Amino acid sequence: MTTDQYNQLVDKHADGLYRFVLKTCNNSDKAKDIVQDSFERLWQNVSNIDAEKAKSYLFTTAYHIFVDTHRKDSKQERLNTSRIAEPMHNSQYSDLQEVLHRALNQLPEIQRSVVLLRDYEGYSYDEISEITGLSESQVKVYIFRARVALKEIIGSPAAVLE
Amino acid sequence: MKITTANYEEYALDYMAGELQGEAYTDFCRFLNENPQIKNQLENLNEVVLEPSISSEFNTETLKKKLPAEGEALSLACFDYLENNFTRTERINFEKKILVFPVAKAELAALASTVLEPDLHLIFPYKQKLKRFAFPLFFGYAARTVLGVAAATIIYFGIRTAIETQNFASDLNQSVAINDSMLIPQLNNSNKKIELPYSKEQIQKIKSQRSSNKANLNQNASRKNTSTGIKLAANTQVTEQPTMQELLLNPLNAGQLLTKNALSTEKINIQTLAMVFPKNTVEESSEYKSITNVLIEKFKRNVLKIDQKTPINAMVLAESGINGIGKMTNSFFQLKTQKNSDGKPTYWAFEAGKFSIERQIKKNISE
Repeated sequence: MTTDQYNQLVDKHADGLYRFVLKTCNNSDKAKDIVQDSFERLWQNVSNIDAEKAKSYLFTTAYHIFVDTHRKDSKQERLNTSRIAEPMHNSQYSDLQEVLHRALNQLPEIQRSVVLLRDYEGYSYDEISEITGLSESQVKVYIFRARVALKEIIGSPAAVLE
Repeated sequence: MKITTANYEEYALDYMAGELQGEAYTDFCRFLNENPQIKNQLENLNEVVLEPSISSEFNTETLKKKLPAEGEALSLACFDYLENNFTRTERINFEKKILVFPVAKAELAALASTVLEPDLHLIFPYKQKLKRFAFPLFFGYAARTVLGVAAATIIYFGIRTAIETQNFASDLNQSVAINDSMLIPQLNNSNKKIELPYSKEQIQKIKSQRSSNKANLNQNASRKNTSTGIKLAANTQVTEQPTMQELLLNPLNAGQLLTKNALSTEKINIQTLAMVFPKNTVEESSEYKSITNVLIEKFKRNVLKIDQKTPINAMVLAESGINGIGKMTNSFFQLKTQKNSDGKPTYWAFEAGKFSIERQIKKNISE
């Protein structure tokens, strides 16, 4: 992969990667760090990675960095009584999407990650299993559970009123 | 059958469970009547029978596999339909047989509404910082590497040519003469006339005086506050040599450095000033070779980073220069030399990633 190809990847995937990481970890500073780390690792291996596989490499790296940092921070998070999600005031979202994204925070992290990869990036089960290290059937089960959970959450009046 | 204290335990549990019958039961009852303490013990044993706690029972329901409930099966079918997990035939069947029911349509719509849409206005703010500058390529090499190699080559041949054509040794040994215009501004307060340069005889006299002063320095160390002590202190100050760099760049400043302390004292030893800047003759210049040596030592240690015993030659300078440029430009090229026991280079090798060249040094490189 050449430097030009690398720079094209930055233009093409930095935003998508940032959205995925931000929605997964709910912390914009941490998300920025993870995106920068992911691209830094891509650059370090720029001569060994094909441009075609770079996107998958970026998402895999970002996911693993997130998991690692999340483990390190888990002690700190346990001290917090509840997750404090960053406020999402975005007029571009429809009401349903706003509720849906709030509901996303109530899902377990693994379910959140796989459903984001599926919906945001359109990855197949096979690709998601490569990124997350899960089996294809596990990926399917997690996505199904996530959808059912989201359906129930957005179907409840409390979620709408929240 | 005779039941005694030695064998009564065999019958005790059967007795307590009500399973002891016939002659054995009669004998055991008689034994208990004869031994009331054992009878008492057996009655208490009834209280320690463990009974299973209902609350601590393991919920085996959690282990059982359930058939998918009707609603869950419908959700799963709708999910597979939405996720394109069906074959073409399965899709058609689903649409014909399941989707005709309103409840299935509602379930499908509910699940379809859970598809997340990315917020396209959410963008990564530091995208430009992630980008890398692309160096133009020359024959497959990055311009950075090519420029580094070119600069290193120019430095190598430049230094080599310069060393071969010029005699640096004579320059380094050259002393800098001082004249009246340099010293007079510093000596306005002294009210003494200075005549420089001194004659050879005068300098010889000054030298002997300084030697004498040095010899007496330790003896008079305790008399620092006396006039003699001040004079000796002044003499001590001027023995500090200016660096060659100071002398070459600005002789006046070098002289100020040396005389600053001496001039601030009440009695100024002009003779010692003259000793710092003697007339440039072969005889006198030999006294100041130490300055050269100090400079060379510092240059070897701080710039070339070589052992003090290793002589400075074109190869050593080129090695240091090329490797320094390699580090500065972050390029993968370096010059390595192999030296013999005398410290003189016998082989050199230049490496620049895919390109490398090595040669034996046949010609003796001058120092």
